[in-house]
Amino acid sequence: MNYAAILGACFVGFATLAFGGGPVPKGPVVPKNEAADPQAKDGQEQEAREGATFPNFKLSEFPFVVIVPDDGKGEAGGWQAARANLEFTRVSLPITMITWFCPLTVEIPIRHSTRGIITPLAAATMSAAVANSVVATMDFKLPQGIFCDTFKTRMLAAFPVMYPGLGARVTK
Amino acid sequence: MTKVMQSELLELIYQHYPRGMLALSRVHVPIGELYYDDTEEHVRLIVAAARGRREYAKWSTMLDGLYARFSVQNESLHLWSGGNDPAYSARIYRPKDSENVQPEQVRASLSFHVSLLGPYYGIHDAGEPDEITQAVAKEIESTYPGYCTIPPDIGNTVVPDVDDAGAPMGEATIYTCLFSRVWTWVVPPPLPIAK
Repeated sequence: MNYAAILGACFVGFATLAFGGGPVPKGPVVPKNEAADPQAKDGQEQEAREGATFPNFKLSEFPFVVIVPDDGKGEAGGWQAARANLEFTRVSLPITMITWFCPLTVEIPIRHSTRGIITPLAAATMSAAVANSVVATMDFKLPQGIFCDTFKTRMLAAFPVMYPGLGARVTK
Repeated sequence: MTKVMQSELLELIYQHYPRGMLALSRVHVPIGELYYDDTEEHVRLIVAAARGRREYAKWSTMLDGLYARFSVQNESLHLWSGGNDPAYSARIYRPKDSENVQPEQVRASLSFHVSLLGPYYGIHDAGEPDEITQAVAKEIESTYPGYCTIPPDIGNTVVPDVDDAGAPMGEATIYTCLFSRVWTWVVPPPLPIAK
């Protein structure tokens, strides 16, 4: 019996629950079926099966505060911003877990002609929806800095597609 | 109107965007290595954005004149949260923009921008030609005398070696570097597919 494999599998399950960014995320561990290197020579480590936890970002991770009050003019007015520090985890077997954080700021108007007043809760809901949508497109093997830069730019690109008139911004 | 040369625009862009450098967050840059925000180029962009905030009243007054005539959405408030936009931006909704579309999915068909990096302005019109484009151009040119437009064959030129803070390296254009990523909102590029 391969106790190391069993122990590793149990740890992966624990890591998914403990570091998944909240409740058990949907589709928690997506193993990338990387077969062992057939050319691996004796003494070299074979490439292990790896996985990434797809975080399920919560609304509380986007605490919006007012930056500019609404002046009532135009199709949209006012400005609110949330500073987020989003956590990502990549698990490699047998037992390696890499966690990193992507700091970013999301900014959204306070009022919009088609949405009315956008409360901090509504802004957080949209931000989480965009973040959770983008994370599914990400390559978790990217170097962390490039991962975060890519994630930020994809969130910025996703907002005008998911919420066309909103005018949201995403910056580092 | 002064003829705009691509070379002068590229020179202006490279003064404000460091070449070949990703705009990574500071936490991902080892101590001792050059950080994007500390480059001379980015500091020039910060200075330009600060000037945009100091002179914001001129832009705001111009918008006040347009609010009465068109459905205008100011996209420049990002400057007030410390954003380093290279331009003032705004969008205009036409009545046709909301035809056969859910209210939350309405997209403005026109955006206009006044660059903070040089004497250029841009109007990105994805709708049917009407009087709005000329009216906006007239307002901009009277508020910012001497500013000129950039023809599409130059403006859509890719600047492959700068990070315009809105797209992966290699996707910035002269338009997005001078007018910000808001330029692309009238016709957003396709999104990456989920893995």
